[in-house]
Amino acid sequence: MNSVGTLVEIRHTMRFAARNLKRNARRSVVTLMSIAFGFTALALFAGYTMDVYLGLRNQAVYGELLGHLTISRPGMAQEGHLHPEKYLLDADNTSKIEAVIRQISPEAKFAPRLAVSGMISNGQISTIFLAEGVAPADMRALRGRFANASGTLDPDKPAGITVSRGLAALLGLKEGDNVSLLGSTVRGQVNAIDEDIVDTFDTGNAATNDKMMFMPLAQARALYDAEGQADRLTVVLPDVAQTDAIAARIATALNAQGLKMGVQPWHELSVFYRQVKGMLNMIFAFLFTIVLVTSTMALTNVISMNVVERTREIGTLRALGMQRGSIIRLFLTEVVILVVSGCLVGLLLTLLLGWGINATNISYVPPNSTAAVPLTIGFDPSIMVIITLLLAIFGGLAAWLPTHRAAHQPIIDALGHV
Amino acid sequence: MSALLEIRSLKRTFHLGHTTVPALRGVDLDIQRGEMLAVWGASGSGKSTLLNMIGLIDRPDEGSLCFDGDDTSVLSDHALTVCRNRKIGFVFQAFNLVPVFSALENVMLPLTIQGVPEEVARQGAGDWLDRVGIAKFAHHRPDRMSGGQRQRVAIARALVTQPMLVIADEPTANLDSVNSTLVLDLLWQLSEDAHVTCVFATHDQRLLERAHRHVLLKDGQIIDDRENHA
Repeated sequence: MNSVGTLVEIRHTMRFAARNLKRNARRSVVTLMSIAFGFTALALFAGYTMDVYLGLRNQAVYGELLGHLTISRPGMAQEGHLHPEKYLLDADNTSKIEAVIRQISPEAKFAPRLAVSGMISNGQISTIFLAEGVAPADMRALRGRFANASGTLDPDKPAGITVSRGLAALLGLKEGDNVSLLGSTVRGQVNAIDEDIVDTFDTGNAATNDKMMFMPLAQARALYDAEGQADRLTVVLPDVAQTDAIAARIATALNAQGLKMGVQPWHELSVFYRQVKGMLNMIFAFLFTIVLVTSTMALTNVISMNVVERTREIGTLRALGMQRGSIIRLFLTEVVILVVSGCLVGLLLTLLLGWGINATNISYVPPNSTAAVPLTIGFDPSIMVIITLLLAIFGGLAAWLPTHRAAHQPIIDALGHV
Repeated sequence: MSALLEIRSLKRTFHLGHTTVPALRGVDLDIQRGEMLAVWGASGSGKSTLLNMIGLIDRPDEGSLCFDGDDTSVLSDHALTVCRNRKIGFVFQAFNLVPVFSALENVMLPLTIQGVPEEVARQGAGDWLDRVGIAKFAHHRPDRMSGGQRQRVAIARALVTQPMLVIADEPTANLDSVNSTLVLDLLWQLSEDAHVTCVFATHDQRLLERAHRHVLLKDGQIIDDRENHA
């Protein structure tokens, strides 16, 4: 058949399939709606998880200040506390790393960091703290559009620290209060400094909200007695999508300069992000399986019934010269029309329900969280295309067997079917 | 010129559970081009089975059937399907129109299957509906037409591809006498005009009277084959 003939067949098949679906309108509508509801459930959940992932990413990158990349000596995270002197970066290391970052990603923001820990006291009681040392101006740069979020250090207050709200509550601290920090230096000697509270913040995680602090890098270095040193560099890239590619380039460039450094992306370092994403992905897979199975069964049922009811018609079409493949294509087209129409109705329902949910400002407290978060539904076109394609593929596979059987049965049997 | 159909020692047996039913037990038959041949006989004599073989919608267990010079036993299903579409027209007892299509679209169907452009097919189908006298019902669906009108649509559908052969299995069995006469006149006139070979199975005496040749089947064998000089 030439291209004109193919076009004629496609148009004819589409029209024929649409009319056949209309012939059993109620059955077709029920199947279409079951697909639409399944699509809506999946699309809403996918939109919700997309927003959760985005929120968690922003929390990890800007809130926890993990940045997109962390550059440190290999093994620093595991052995750094036992042998800090082996893993610290001196000013020369830091400037070389900064030069490499500038060369590879000129628009990237970066800052040296130093993590310290110890005891914090309000003069009466003490508790442990974990502090991230970073220059206040660098912190603002790293946080970018979130620079005014709570917990950001103030460049005008060189001895000002920000503490997590759980920690502030534990010690009865408020903005303007003075605290003493007691810690050990890099050589293991006891050291203490006084600091002022300039702000409080929520880490969003109950496990860290009673011990986290941010403090100016100079103060952290003073407490740790590590002048000019840092334990890592944090890098925020202009485009998060480039994270892994730039990480590889930076690692290669540093290696070429004889600097053996580990370059880790944020998603490797944020355990919480990985755990939540893993759990939600698992739930999505479970939900998707249920929808796929129910939709496929509905399609199998409707196509099987259509095939049985139209057996005589199939025999007539075969007698008139329609090839077996064309018969199969006709029924598969009916499946595709049902799936695509169902998904389009599902898309409308998703937009409507998503808008409604977002407009009602529902909030909830996630497990292990310290504050309520808004329940928002995002819009993820890629997952919707994937859902539609998979439903069409599985529906087609489900319809293939009864259709194939019908197309291959002897014509005289089909014509004699009552 | 060679015969349109050359049938030799044709056998066909059906298996119904543990029962074996020999429907054709060695049929030899030549059908000439332009011939009007009536196959008749008692119910169960093998008329429909023979027509199914001739119409290439069933294959024999034994024997050979040459259609337009081609040995059909060596043709693939695809080739047989193409052959049916281009060279054979069918008129069924129960009309077998596609219910979701209008009369016009039903007549267009064999052309559409061929891949004929829609406008050309529409024009051709419209002409045939005009020739069978139901052009005004072109956009009616089968469920809104009488039995006679439906069978006329079926005749138009059978002839629209200008086939070599028309197979009609009891074409008047579901029609009243008035409509039977109308349909017979039409089938005859159009087939003769188009020089189409016509093979039909029937019990209808009026049909038999018009045929050029009568083939009488009994228990799957031809027991009489004669020219009709009536």
